[in-house]
Amino acid sequence: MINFRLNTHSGVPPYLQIVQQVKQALQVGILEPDDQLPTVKEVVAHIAINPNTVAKAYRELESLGLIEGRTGSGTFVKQRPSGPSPKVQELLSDDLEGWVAKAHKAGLDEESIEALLRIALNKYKKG
Amino acid sequence: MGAAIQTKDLGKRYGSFWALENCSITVPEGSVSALVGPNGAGKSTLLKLLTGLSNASSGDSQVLGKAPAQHEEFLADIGYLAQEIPLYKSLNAADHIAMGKHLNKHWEDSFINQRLRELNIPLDRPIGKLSGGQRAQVALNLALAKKPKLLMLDEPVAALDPLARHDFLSSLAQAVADGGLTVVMSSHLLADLERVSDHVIVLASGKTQLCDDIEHVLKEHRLLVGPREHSKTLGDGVNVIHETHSARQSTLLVRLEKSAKVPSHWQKHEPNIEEIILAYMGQAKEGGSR
Amino acid sequence: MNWFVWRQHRKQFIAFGILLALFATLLIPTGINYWHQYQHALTTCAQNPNTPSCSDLTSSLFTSSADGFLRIAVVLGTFGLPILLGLFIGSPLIAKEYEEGTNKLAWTQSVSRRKWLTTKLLWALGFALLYGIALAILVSWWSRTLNAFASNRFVQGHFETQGLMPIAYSLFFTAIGFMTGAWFRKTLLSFAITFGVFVVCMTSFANWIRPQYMTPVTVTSQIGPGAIDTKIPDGAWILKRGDLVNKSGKEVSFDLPNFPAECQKLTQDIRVPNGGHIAKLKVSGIDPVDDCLNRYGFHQVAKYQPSYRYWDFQEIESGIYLGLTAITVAATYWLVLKRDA
Repeated sequence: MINFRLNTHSGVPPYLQIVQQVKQALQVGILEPDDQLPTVKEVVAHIAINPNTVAKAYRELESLGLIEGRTGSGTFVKQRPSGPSPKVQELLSDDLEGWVAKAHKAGLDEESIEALLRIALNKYKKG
Repeated sequence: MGAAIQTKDLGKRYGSFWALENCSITVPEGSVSALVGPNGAGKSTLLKLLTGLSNASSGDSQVLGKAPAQHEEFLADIGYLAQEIPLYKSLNAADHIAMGKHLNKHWEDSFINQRLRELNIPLDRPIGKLSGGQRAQVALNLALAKKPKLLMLDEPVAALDPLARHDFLSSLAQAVADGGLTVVMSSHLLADLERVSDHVIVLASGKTQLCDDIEHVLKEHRLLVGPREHSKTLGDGVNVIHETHSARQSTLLVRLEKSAKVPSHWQKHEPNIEEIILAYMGQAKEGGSR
Repeated sequence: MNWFVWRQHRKQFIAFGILLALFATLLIPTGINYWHQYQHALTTCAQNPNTPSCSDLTSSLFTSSADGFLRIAVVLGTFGLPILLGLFIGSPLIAKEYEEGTNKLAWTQSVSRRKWLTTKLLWALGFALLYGIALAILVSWWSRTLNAFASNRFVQGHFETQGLMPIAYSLFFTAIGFMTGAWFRKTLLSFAITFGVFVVCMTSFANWIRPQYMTPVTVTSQIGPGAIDTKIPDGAWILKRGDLVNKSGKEVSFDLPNFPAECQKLTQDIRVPNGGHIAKLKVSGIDPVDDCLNRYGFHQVAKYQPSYRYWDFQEIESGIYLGLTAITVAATYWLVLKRDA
């Protein structure tokens, strides 16, 4: 069962954070097709958040085709989002860990590593 | 969706002092609305008018389709939690539950008994001996157990510690999740606004500054940063809510109409909801209003 | 709602019940004892009419200091309990709800404010009514001995403790309690005002208002020791006694400046020549001053309410208090229903 976390200072609207966390869970393999998602009530019991927000996130995920409601049973994962399979993600993740180790060895601290990553992302966005 | 609350020019006067003036708001059914504003803004006054505890000096209001009245049909549909969380100090929670059963039409006993047990609140201890957080939970669940369609809460979490606050909001959220409930919750704190509510009403100095869905508010407002010398050149459809200037730079919080065009010398940022609300409260302080 | 009023106020109701029970344990044995003592004295006097005490029982029966304390206790109890009802049932009934804010809790349940108020007031007034009746019966019964031989039930201090009055006072002061509580929304302030109203009512009714319910009976007599008293029937409530009325009917006080010059001179203790007119008066036991005033056409006057008017007065005063209670209750409704919470 997935447990949601909410970061109120991230600037990302709460419902979007839930959508993203479900997507990421699907990417990484924490959630798989036919897994049951927590009910709205269960989510808000755990994190005190407006149930309308959770409902909205689930609606969005449903419109993306990722989840579906099955009457009488609850909400279930339909399919993984398009994108790299967990296998591919694992490979990429290994690569990244290797690079981070290299950067550490070269003497970069955590902030500098993050800065480098951001610059690379921005470059990629512009390009 | 209908409106759970609709007011038109609602006002309340104490002597010559208007605690609330020209308040025209709409609260959608099923929403969780945050009623925010500084102390003395008129939040408690507004809630008391909507529950029928106070009489309006001007204007009118429709709550769940009716004018607030001291009738059993109206009272059965609303729930209210007053600011100081009043309970009978010498009676215990079980007594209050029995009171609720005797004084209410639709009452669900099992729910509140279970909930208080989950929270480890002793039912036989006098209310005066419970902690602030426990009292708040008893009061909230009493209000929920009478199965209202509209729940109005006056600064319910102001005096609670973070854990009690979380439990309170969690109880409230679970009740909303069950459906059929509209909530209006007033607060002078802005933290967690976007997390807990989807609609916001901003009051300041007795006047309504803003009343809208949070999503819509976020879409409509922008933070513009630009050089001071060009601070007066704005496009059409750009309404300045609040401005600050330093020697060289101006920062404007604006509301954009659909057709608005912002000149290119302005950097556009997306403010968060707290920044927007503060801008409206700042505007009220400086004498303007919507 | 009835269940809740009981649950909320049961401590007070029970406390008052205990108080009444304690009062009864004082009154019942002493009441029985008093009656027996009195009956015994009557039989003794019937058998031996010449026993010295029989000529005036009031100076021999129930004269011990214990009896004195008992009488005070009864008066305090019978005056005190109605005002205590006002202070401890009446004042907090509504004021406390405003003070604690629980009115906002009660008025957002599903009972209307009107129903809430009506239930509370019915309980308070109903309790006061029953309490007043119990008190009236208890003290009237206890007082029958004193009424019989002292014939003073019409007098202030006794009128209020018997008959219908404890009922009227219990209702009225309870009502004043909850009305001032609803008005000022503070229990202590309501206490003070209710007690103030109590003091003002008791003194003004006893001294100025009650005497005027019916025109008092006026009697006159010659001036002489005890002369006027023979004209006043038993059990009357004497309002005025001992003033003078002159030949033309004008009432004046029995004071020296009001006497004719000749009589004034006679009040001075001068040596009386033997065999003179004055000496003859003195020999026959007549006060020369009295004789002089009589010659000038002065009479003694007294005003009283006869004892057969006792129940009329009880009914009139109860009626007044009940009317005031009704007005007070109406005011309470307005104060609670029409004003903001």
